[in-house]
Amino acid sequence: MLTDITLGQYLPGESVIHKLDPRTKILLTIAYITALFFVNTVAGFALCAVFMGCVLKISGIPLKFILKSIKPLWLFVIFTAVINIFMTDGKIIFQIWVIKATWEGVYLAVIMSLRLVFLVMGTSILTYTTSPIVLTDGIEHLLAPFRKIKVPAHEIAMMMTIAIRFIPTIIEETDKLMKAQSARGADFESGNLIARAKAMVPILVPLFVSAFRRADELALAMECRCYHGGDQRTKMKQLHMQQRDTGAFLIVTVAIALLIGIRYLPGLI
Amino acid sequence: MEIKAEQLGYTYMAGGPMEKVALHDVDLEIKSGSFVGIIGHTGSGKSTLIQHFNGLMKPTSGKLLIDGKDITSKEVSLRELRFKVGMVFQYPEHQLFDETVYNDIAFGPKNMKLEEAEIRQRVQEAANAAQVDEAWMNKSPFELSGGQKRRVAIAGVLAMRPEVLVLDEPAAGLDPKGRDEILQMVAELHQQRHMTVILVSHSMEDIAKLATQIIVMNEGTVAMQGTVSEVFSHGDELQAMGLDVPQITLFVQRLIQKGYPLSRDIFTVEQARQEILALFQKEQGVKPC
Repeated sequence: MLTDITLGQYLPGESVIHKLDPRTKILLTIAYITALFFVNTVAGFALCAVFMGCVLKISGIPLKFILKSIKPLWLFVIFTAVINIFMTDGKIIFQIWVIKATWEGVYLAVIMSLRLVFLVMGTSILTYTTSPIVLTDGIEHLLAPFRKIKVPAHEIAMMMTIAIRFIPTIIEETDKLMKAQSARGADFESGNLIARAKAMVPILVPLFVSAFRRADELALAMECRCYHGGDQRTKMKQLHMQQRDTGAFLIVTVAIALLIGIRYLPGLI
Repeated sequence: MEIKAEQLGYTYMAGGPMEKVALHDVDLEIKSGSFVGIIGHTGSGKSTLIQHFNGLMKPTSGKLLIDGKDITSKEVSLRELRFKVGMVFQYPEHQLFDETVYNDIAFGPKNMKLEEAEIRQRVQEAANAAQVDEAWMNKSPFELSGGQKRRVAIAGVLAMRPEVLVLDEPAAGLDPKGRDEILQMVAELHQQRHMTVILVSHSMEDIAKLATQIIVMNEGTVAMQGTVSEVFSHGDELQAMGLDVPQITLFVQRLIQKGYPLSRDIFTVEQARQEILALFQKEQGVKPC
């Protein structure tokens, strides 16, 4: 039933992109997302597409996985597109009562939709090529400077790691409970919304009980091994920046410069 | 109610990259009123197999027939099948959810859409059978101890008055007393109510004591099938599968090797006690001391 869900979408691989330091990947993804907001021409998006295509090719991730990650987005894309088409002032295409569609709106809608698609593509390449544990490790390192202003970097990373670690366990548990309750004739599929919500009670109550029990046990086990949070804690696997990270920074910087350049250069010349 | 599997197979995530064959070519027959023990090491497919018996899982190949009807066919209502084949999962106490013990036991009968009076009667009857104390009825199930919770959970299944009772390691994690009580209850259900019982267990002793037939699962298929003495006479093969014969049987076999004329068909301590005492009396009769 539930075991078919693919959560934690990491796809193991040996590509250069997989091997990049997680900090490099996180920082470059953030830079890429920021740069996306500067892109507003067809040429810009074409460049984006070429760039994404190259990254995808190097990472060896099949295109269908990327398309799968964009799929849940379409409702959101349609929503923003509609808002843009009808809420922007400009040359009117047609008008019904006070609602009017404009050319400027259509243009904005296309730009926004492309932006969303490219944004999700970029971030999904990050999660596809980086295992959740390495990713949280990277986040912890990037947050480390903020410890000076009392940001609990290590604790945040630890919570994320634990949460990710327990997703499959909880899915398995839910599956088991659904089976146990359907063995007693519980019906999750028929009835109206209220009946269905009520049918979830026999699943949710034991699920919460066991989640709390697990959390308790885990906390105890961690304390038994003298876990005491982030201070003076060392890592078995240290993160090291390599030459390929420098290379990645250079390439992406050039690409971002081009993206921003396309927007401003034509006006300057 | 007769359960029959013909070339039954089940593959997890068939066709995907994580494809895993859990069961293949399973042929078996469980007669109405029998007490069948299923043994097999961890991961041999026992749990996957029993979930087919009430249609929680559907075979990906082959057939499962209940009273001659294929469970995937339209004439079988899976809901009704689930009321007829009661399934007690491992650690069933983890599925308790309702505010009171009474309501939890009544969950099954309520889903059957029975009358209030009928539900009351069934809860009472199931509670008696599972030795659920009258005083717990209005308590929260979360106030009870582990062994008590388990009895409540089993009562919840019995309240549906199933014809077949499937239990997946019902005694796991209980203390010796709790264990004996649960197994005693299962034996009584079989003897007094003539329920068909299918018991999955890692304890060869329990199986030897209770079951009449044994199905041995190994690597996703039926490795052996037969009466208790038929199966336990293949000690070496069982050991090769990571299983064993009851300890008392090993003990008796050692005695036989030492030259004591005992039967090879001894599987419980009680049988061994009688045989050995009988032997003593016979020998004493031959040469008084």
